[in-house]
Amino acid sequence: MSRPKIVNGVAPPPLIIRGFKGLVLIACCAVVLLPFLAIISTSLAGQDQLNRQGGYVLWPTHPNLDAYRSILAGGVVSRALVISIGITAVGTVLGLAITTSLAYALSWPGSLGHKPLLLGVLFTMLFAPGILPSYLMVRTVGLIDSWWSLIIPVLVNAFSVIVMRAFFMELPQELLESAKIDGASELRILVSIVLPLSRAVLAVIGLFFAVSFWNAFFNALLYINDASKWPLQLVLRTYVVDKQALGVDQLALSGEAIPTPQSLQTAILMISLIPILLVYPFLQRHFAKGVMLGGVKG
Amino acid sequence: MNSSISRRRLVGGGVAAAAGAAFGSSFLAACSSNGGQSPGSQDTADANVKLPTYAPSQPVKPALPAEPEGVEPAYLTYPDPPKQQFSSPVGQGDKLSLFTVIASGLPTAKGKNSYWQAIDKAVGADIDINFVPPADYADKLATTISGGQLPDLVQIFTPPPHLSQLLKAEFTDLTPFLSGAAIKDYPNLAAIPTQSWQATVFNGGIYAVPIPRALVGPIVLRRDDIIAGAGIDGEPTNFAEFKQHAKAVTTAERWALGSADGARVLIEEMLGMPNGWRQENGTFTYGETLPEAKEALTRVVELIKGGLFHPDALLPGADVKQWFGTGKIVWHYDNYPAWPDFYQRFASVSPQMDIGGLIPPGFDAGSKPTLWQGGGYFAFNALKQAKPERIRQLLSVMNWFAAPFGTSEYLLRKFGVEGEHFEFVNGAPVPLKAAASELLVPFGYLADAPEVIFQPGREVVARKQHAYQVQAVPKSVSNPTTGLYSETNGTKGAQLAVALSDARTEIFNQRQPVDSYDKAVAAWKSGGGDTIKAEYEKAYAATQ
Repeated sequence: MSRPKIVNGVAPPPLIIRGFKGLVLIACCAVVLLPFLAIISTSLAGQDQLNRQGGYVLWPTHPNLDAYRSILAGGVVSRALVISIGITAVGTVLGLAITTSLAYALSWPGSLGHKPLLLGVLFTMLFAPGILPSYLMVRTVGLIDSWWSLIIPVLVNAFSVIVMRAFFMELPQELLESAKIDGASELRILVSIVLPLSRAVLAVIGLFFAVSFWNAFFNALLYINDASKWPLQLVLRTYVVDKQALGVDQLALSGEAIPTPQSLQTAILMISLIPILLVYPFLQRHFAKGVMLGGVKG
Repeated sequence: MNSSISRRRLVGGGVAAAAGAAFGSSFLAACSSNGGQSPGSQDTADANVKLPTYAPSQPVKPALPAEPEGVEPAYLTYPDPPKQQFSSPVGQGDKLSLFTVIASGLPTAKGKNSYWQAIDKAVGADIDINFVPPADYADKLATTISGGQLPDLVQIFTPPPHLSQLLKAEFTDLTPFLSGAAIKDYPNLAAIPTQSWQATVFNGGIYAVPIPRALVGPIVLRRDDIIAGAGIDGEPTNFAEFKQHAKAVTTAERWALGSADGARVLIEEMLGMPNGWRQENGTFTYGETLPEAKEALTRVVELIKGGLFHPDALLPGADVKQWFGTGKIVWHYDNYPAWPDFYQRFASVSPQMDIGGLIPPGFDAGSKPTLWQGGGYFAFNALKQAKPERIRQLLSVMNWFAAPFGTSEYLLRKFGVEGEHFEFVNGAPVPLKAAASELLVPFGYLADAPEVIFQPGREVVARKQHAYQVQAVPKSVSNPTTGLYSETNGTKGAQLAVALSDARTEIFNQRQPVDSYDKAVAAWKSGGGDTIKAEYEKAYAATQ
């Protein structure tokens, strides 16, 4: 028998143990991936197969793109997709810009209006207004039916500001002070020195922004009356007719409209998942580093 | 984090949102075809409101007549050529906005929607629609009202709390325009049955226009093909026979029933329980407080224990319609409009499907079964306050939308433009697949004509439906609280009903014995049920 390889000073466990561990890991992955497979397959399956097998299938016998075609026909969903992408992109960039500048300013204890500004930000973490006050606020400012109503009210998130501020305060002071001595302006320091060192936290906060902009539907429901301006999640919500076993009290909608077939519902799910799945791998390495940032520091 | 709007704000929401959520959580009240408690009159004034004089309109003679009263007429083909009711558009191109739930996906946007544009041109208006997913109706209504920018027509789907005060404050009293003979100005609206108008009475006046629906209440549908295949007749004469039939159709792959609650209602109807409430000499009794309610629960548990239910019947999210359409269950309790829907959805999978309706037999030799009447409407539309000229304009547009079956306006509304959105096949309009997403615009929720039985290509179904209605409607009992208003029911009714429903679920799942229902009923009484009863009695006394 050959000598086992030494890795990092430790001999690896015998083959059978490694095999067993592998099997367990494969089983765990299967449990996670099976629902995904079911959803993808259901979206590609024909209606007949779905009716026969009762709703979900693991493998389509006659895959077709009918569900996708029927959703994308009429242009409603494609338009909503573009709107969602636009709102997410603009919102994330603006949100990052504002959060970064606020956090940086608050990371210098002597900055102008430091205490009131910091207390103001912390105060908003204590509670959130209800639906009606938010609506009335947005209406007063005149943003009803505008996409800015989905972006501006959520641009400054107190938690993100605190996390970023904590990160900036951990940066080596000598670096920043030497830049000051060399005559760099604050903006120059922020852009050329601080930001390149903060890739991890920018990625994390950026991802938080992006995901919440992408998923938001309730504010669009309240603030945007014109359905041609709805983002993707809200449009998709209209397709999900509650197919729960209707109790005696809930029959009003039954028979009013044909419920969405299973293939359509799962195709909708896929359409809303794909963009996020595409973006995530690029941010993953930053995310891994940044995941510890929320920890308590100084 | 940033989804603070959706999570934290829902929890910390304002009063309207919290109350609205309580209502949104169960689509209770007026719109329930269970003859639900519709908020109505508050005092004698309401009882004295003269409802619009009913004037049925039938431009085309039906194949099967609308008799006895309350039965829908049945048509086998669409008249060719259709009668044109309006020689010119009723409007001058003015804007009109509508706030409505949408029960399907979103339609194509107006700019690209030739169907929408054709309707605008034909009626002479520029129609704009605020779509609301039904689950979010309560919140959206709350913000729309508080924002003060009401659309012209607002649909009341799930009645919000303090509905009568809301209507008085923000909407128009339509009594001078519609009461009694005044409705003659709008002949198509006059064809809406009187029963459907009853729920629109508030504050001593008519405050909305209803979207009519069949008087036939929820129905127990039955797979007649499976019954025939099992060699039994589908008409049991008592509960014991029904149980036998149910056993006869149950096999390894198929079960008799799919919904415990549906079975409960069927048994309650067999026992002769009232439609929600019973009124006798001015005294109101809530059905669930009667001893028959417990008897029904006992029998349902008996059927569950007998293995006659689909194994997943008690799981939330069970797709009971799917089971019925694919023949996994044989009896299915649903809303009446679901009958033709099953053919549309499942005809390709179950081509031999033959659906009939079960008229509940008496529970035993001594019982007199009841059938519960529907509310007669889906929802009603209130008109925002405006000058009388504007109100008349809106009403005449609604009158256009209520053009009856057989007219070219009806054809345009339901099917679109021939060649673009549908085609005539054997005398029946058949929608074109390519135009399907254009036709999703819910114009039927702006105003509509009373429903008719029309099953193009399925004459047998039309005849069966008509035959069922002829038998069912005369036997149906209405909910005596229709037209009476109880404030406590408006604020607490939904929560109390949910509590009772939860107790029943516990019993069906056999986690609690049937006797635990006594506690639940007592809780209902003390939690507001007794107050509701007193309020109904008071309201009823005022009408005498």
